[in-house]
Amino acid sequence: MTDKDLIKKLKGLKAIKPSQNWLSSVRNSLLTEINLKEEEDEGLMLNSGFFQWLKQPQAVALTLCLALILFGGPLMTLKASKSSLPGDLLYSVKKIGEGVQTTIASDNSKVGLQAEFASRRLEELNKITYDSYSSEEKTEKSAKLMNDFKDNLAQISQNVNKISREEAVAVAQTTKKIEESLKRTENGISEEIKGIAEKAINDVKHHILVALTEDEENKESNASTTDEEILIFLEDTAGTTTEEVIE
Amino acid sequence: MKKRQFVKFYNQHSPKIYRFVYLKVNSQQDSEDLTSEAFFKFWQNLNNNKEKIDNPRALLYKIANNSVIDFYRKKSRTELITDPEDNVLAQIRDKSDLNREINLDADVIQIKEALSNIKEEYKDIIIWHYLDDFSAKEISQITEKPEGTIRVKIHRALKSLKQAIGHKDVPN
Repeated sequence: MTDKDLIKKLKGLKAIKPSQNWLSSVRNSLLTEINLKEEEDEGLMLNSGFFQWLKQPQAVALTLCLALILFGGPLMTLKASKSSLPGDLLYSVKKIGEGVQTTIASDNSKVGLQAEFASRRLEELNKITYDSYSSEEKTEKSAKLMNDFKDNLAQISQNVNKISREEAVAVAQTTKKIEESLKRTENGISEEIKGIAEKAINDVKHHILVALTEDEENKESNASTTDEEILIFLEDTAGTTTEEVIE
Repeated sequence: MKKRQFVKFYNQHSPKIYRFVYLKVNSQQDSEDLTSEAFFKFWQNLNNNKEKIDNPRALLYKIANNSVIDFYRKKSRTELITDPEDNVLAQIRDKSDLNREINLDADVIQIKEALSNIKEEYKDIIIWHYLDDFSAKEISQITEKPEGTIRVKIHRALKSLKQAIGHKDVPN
């Protein structure tokens, strides 16, 4: 094969294209994020002298009307994306929204957000399980969701030792809800998916338990009643106990 | 860059960035996620950078490339933390992406497979130079390597791809 033939063949890769619908949904979500960022920046600028006139009620009303007209559409898109599922047009919008939330969140609340997102993935899995998709579609969508679910929990495991005790307890409570939610869903999902989810949850429980136990050791403080309940829940991870973790 | 210019820039480059990412990660869903992430980071970069950017296109590709590197780094970390032996999910996703590939031309599939068998650096250079029409100078801006080195690498990358195809053509 000559170089010319090879280059000609290479040009054939231009046939790989994203869908037009996806392109436009991402464009809308990017514009939403840009508009929101600009709104935030404008909010900061309001405190400077030049923008004092905007504090007048009529000016504020006018700005709000304009903002509604200009940004209303994209914001509605973001809101509408909340109930979207993998494969839906607005699912990318939802994921971008979550990415932005994580980017702007403080280190302490990032872990909590990951727990919240993991909980969302499970809700989506629940919806898919009882929706009228073909079995192939269900398998594909469940695999995608479970991958994201695992990513979210892995992020928690990695960072849980960097957050405050209060936040770690809150994350443990969310994990408990996630586990209960999985138990409610498990009739409709395959054994493989169920096994992966259970393992990911047990891993994260172990990491939270280690972080909480270490924290308690350092502070030499007694756990509150809520903390004790949480420790019992976390210890219920493949027979791991606080004593074993300390050892 | 103003909002209107950004939209124009997005319309022009998003299919190319998607293709670049797709050829690297080989999954529709991950390519969509990484492409949108790259554009969002690009916009943030434009806002945070007070100096004028000489070549926004090169910057966008650099960001997309870094996103892919982060993606693989994160993926390997996640696999280590969760279960290294568990590849069930990956297999399901590979199968669904394979189904989509049925719609591609045989030549395209052959070249795509050959690309996946050469060095990552050569793969990038081939996509940038032959598919996205980047000059050696622009590639040197993305990779931060001398232009002369890039010219040599373009030549070697094409040779390497030709060899990868040759190996595939030889019957067992």
